[in-house]
Amino acid sequence: MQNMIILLLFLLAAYVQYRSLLKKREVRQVVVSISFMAVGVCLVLLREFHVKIPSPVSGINLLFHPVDLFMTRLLG
Amino acid sequence: MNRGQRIILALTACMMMLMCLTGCWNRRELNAISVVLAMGIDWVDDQYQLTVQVSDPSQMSMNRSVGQRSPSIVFTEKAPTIFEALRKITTKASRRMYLSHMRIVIINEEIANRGIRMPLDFLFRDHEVRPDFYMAVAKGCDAKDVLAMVTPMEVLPAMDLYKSLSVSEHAWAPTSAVNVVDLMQMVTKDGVEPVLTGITLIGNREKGMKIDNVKQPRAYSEYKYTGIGVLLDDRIVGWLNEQDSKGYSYITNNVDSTVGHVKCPDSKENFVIEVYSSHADITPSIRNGKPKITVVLRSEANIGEYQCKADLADEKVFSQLQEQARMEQKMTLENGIKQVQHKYGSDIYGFGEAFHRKYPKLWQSWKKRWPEIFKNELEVDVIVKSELHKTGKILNSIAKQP
Amino acid sequence: MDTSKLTIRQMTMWFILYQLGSAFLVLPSNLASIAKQDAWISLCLVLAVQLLMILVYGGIAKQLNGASFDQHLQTLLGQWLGKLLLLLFTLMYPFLILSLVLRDLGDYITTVILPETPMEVIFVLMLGVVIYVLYCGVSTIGRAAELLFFIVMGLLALGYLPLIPSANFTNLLPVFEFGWKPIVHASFTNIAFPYIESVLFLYFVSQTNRPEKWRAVVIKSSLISGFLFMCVTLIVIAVLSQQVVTSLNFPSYFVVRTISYSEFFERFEIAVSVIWFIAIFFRMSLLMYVSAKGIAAVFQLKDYRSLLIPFGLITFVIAGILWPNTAILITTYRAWPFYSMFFGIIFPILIWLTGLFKQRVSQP
Repeated sequence: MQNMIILLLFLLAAYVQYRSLLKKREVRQVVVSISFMAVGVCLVLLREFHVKIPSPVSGINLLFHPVDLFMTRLLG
Repeated sequence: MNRGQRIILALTACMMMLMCLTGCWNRRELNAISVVLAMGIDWVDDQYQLTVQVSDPSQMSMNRSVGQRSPSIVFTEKAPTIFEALRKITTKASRRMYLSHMRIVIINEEIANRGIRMPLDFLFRDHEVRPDFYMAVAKGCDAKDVLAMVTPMEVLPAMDLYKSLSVSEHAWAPTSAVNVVDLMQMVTKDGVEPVLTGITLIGNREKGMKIDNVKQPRAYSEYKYTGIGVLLDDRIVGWLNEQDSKGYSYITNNVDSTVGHVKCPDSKENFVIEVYSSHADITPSIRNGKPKITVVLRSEANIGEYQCKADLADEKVFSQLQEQARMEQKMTLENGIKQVQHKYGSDIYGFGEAFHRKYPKLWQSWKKRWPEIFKNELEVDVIVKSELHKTGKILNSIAKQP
Repeated sequence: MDTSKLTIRQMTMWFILYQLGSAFLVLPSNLASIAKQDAWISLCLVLAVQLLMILVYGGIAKQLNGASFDQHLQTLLGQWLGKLLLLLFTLMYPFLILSLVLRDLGDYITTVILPETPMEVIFVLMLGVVIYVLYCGVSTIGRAAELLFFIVMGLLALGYLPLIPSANFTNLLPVFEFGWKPIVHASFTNIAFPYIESVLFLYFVSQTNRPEKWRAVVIKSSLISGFLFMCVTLIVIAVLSQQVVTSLNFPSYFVVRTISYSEFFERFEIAVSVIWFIAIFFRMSLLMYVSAKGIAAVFQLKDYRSLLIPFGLITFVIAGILWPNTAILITTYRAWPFYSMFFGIIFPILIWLTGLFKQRVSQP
């Protein structure tokens, strides 16, 4: 429920912004912005339906945890 | 930006500030919390028994009806852990307990014997609790009883306990107030063992819990801060008497001002020295492969009470008295250290930390066996360099006519 | 009025506040757990490394010659490769740190101050402010930095100077108890977070009217913030001993709680935590500005402002999913420095060397 309210707020702000952008005929900005916005909206919807999104940090941990262990052993 | 936009912006900023400053989801109205002033932890029937003493705000105001209601209220609850007991108290009290203003925590002797780490975990972990309260162990009585007592001086018993402890720490050496931050440090360091103050109730306890206790000049029951409890790791192993506690305070530089009696050099009477400044230096050294500590005590004192026969105007007498005072201090310290060393084997003075700072490599090999080394191998040398200065308003006693 | 220019003073203050950021609250416990009581010495090491890296960054700044960072990348590596590199760099580095920093703030507030508030609310409020201020332009942030800098310094003094009388400096002995190795190991975390993020400051070389002063600005801000860090860590370890600092989650906040003078000057630790809010605000605004500018350059947009709201939304979601519990947080803090060093040390060195190579080739 909270996620939807926040999504609504963001969409409102985006709508206001797009109106002013389109008035200035800045098509390129609107297209790029809308594509990122779509990514964001997808993520919020995924969260709303409790789909588990993998965190980017888990990738970092996987790659660099061995490096950390190695360093700890080297400098322990 | 035109005027309309500016107004909307200002309003939005105000709204956001309102949301955050009132505490968001964490808002608590003042009449929905009750401020806990003291907490007592007992061990009853294999469970923790938590006692909280809260203040009754309506009784603290100026136009209260004296003698109608007690200014503080005590709630008790039993549960397997302390956090649960705290929340369970809401089944008896109409408000939620707010722990940030706690002044003193009293533990039962049984918990102190089983180990203080477990009950303290909650106090360190909770975000409301501030680390500025004192801790004490209730000897010979339950913490519940200590908190339920009506005290003579202050309206709120918890404030009485707290103030008495902090005043006593500054004015009387055998009392040592243990602050939670110091306790945390002492528990986690390898070279120091923690200590805890002791508190007992004397007199008729049943009557002490009624308002009758303070209705006449002499109270039926009082609390009293006794000597220091020695802990090894986190369990109490013994208690120090008054003299040994005094030695502990001297060595750990906790003495602000204190008073002690010394035997006269020429008669059986006593004279009293009032120490107003004291500093002890602990120097570790290694002799014949064995650890040795030298304690140098420097204090400055005045004569507070004089019952001897010798003439104070005489220089030789003064230096005799000074010598006598030094010997007395040396004996106090040495006896205290011997008692702790041989009877309890717990390094409460921080000698281990002194070795850690000066001989770190050696300390690594001693660390695990330090209580044993402290008990059997450590030699302690006490050198007292105190000085006696003034005699107060009069020189010789008025009774004496030379 | 040009909203995209900063004066040197504003830039210095913004960078100091950026580096003070989230690290000063959390790092003393991380440092103390590895380097024990020598944690403050590892900060000297960190500053030394930072000064070395500033040589590299200064070299790149000179090579920029008035162009902005993204244009420089494209001239170095050609249009497509430059854009691809910029896209990857921006998405994987400043954008990720943005979520990290926001999540840090949320963790702190929900642990210590407002435990029952859902983190999303804090995220939205902070993101709202950051997006708005970036909308207004960089010079607004510069002016805000000028004003808030003195408040932050005042609060730091208010919070940490009263601790000096009650500090027990023997807690810092023995020095070098375990030798050099733990000190070096402990410095990794602090180098990565926040110092080599100074590579992001390269975006600001074109934002000021005197670009040749950029290197001096970064040196000054690094030295000042490093000195402040060292003082705070010193005081924290002196007041609580090193073992206590290791077991605390937020030692710099806890230590202000212990101040108590004559029952009157006490219990104001919340006022000191305002420092952290302000520092996080400047950190997030810089990171979001860098990300937006980078992506805007990749897609050749005229203005970065249109990207702010989508980025806010994505950051909001990612910050919520970063780590589900404290254990993964600790692992992340240990593994993060090496990831960060890749972008903060290896990447700039490669860019600099490529730039040098190109210069040498173009001058026969």
